[in-house]
Amino acid sequence: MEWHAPWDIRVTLDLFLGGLGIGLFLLSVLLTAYGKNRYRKLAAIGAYLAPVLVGVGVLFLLSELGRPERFLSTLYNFNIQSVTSWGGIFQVAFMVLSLIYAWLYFKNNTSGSFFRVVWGFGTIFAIFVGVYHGLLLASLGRPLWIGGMVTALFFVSSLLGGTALILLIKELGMSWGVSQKMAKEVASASDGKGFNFTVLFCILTTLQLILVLSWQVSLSRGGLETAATANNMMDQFGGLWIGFVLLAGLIIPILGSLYSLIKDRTSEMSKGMAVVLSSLVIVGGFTFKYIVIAAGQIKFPIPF
Amino acid sequence: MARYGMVIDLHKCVGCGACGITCKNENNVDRDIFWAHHLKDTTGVFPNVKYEFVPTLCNHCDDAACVKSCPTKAMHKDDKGLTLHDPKKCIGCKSCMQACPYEVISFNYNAPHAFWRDLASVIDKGTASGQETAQEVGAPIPYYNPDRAATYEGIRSKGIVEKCTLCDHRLAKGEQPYCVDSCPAGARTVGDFDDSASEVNKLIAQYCSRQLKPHAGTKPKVFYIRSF
Ligand code: SF4
Repeated sequence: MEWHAPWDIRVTLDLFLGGLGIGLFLLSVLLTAYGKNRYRKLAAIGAYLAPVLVGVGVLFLLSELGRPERFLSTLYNFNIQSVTSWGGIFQVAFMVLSLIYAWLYFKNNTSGSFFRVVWGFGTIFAIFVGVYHGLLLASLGRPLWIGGMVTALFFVSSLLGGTALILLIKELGMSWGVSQKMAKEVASASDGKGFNFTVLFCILTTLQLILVLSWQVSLSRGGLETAATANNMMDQFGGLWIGFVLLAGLIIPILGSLYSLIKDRTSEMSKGMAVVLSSLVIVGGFTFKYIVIAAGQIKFPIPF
Repeated sequence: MARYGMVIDLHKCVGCGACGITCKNENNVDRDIFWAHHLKDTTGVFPNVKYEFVPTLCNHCDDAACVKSCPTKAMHKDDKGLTLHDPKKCIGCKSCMQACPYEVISFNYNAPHAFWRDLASVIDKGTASGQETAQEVGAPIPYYNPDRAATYEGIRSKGIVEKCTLCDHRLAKGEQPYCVDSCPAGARTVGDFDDSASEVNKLIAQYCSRQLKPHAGTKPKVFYIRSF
């Protein structure tokens, strides 16, 4: 009999797109706090895209269920011990809040107390959803996913993906028609009090690299079963892992953003560099989630 | 509350696999799905070779990981301590399969028993097709056991999981699980671990016992005594 991994790529797509969505939402929230007027367009695009990405991810997940028409039963047959049950609540709450948030941006109604309430609760639920993605895997107790590291890894990967996507949108969309001089002014205006995307990008990629390396070291010392799963992951996906996750997805973006900051710590990466590095981070983030989810499901003989 | 489980005496087990086959009969289980299965291992070099055969099934764990992970409470514990599955609540998310350390939960990717709906025969116009055979018998599958439907779907549907119930429908009538009754070597004993006088408790008191993956922390209730 042919062995199927219980979850196919649609679960990866849910966690990846959902992660990008909450990352974008949190970036939009951050930009709103930093300078509602200066970053209005970017924050608004983040607000519009967040529920779309999370929603498309959820659609992939639903299509992966054997009985998708029963999905709502996770709400009324709620199992307090099940992380998946909590995830259902968090995702529904986040979808509602992020849609209202996007609507308020669309209506240009971003200064009232209602907006602040949506902004605050949206942030909380975005964090809950981001944490839920990794916690779901950790809660299943499989050797590759057990422990808290996967939760942190998935959450930082989502923040990084959101940051990379907003950078991409900024460079490909919002800087069109903006003169070089004006772009320079925005950059210098960010010095000290504004928002520097390159700094955030550099911090998150570095943090993720530290987490990934710590995770790999802890896996190799995590007992027979865990070490065997980790070895199997490298046997099956070693090339993709080193090439896309580590080199393209983290190390090159760290070096590129660092180079840019060393050259001029107050300015942003050049447009070309931002586009390339953001794309690499997004591809690396997808590959990372794909490998962790696929390799975590590999079946091992039960020792006796 | 009772805590039903099983003791398997590997010294008595002859590795015939009857438990796996009769389980399919009793529970209307499809060909590619195994509620009762086995692990096999051959070690050493001739003439010093060791062969081991270890029958497996759902461990009806006290702290069942599948029950904790199920988002709809479809996987649940009953008053006999059995880990059971409610097919009407199952959404087919497969979280239980991921959480189970023993890989004893199976998913119906397609409607089960396709063979008995298939019109193709081994020898065209020479042998009966699966569908013809089932039609002759007048049942969804030739070996259909209607008793199974007393506590579970007789045949589980596409898109949900299924697993061993320790023959809860037979236990409810005071009978033994069918794998226990059909074992020609009498290697399997079922009983209540909360009853100090039960046969299962006597066996694990008499012999050293082992469980599969005790480190998973699920407190499995299938114990193995002696060796194959
Ligand atoms: S597949 Fe069914 S029984 Fe298993 S966790 Fe999902 S809903 Fe529960």
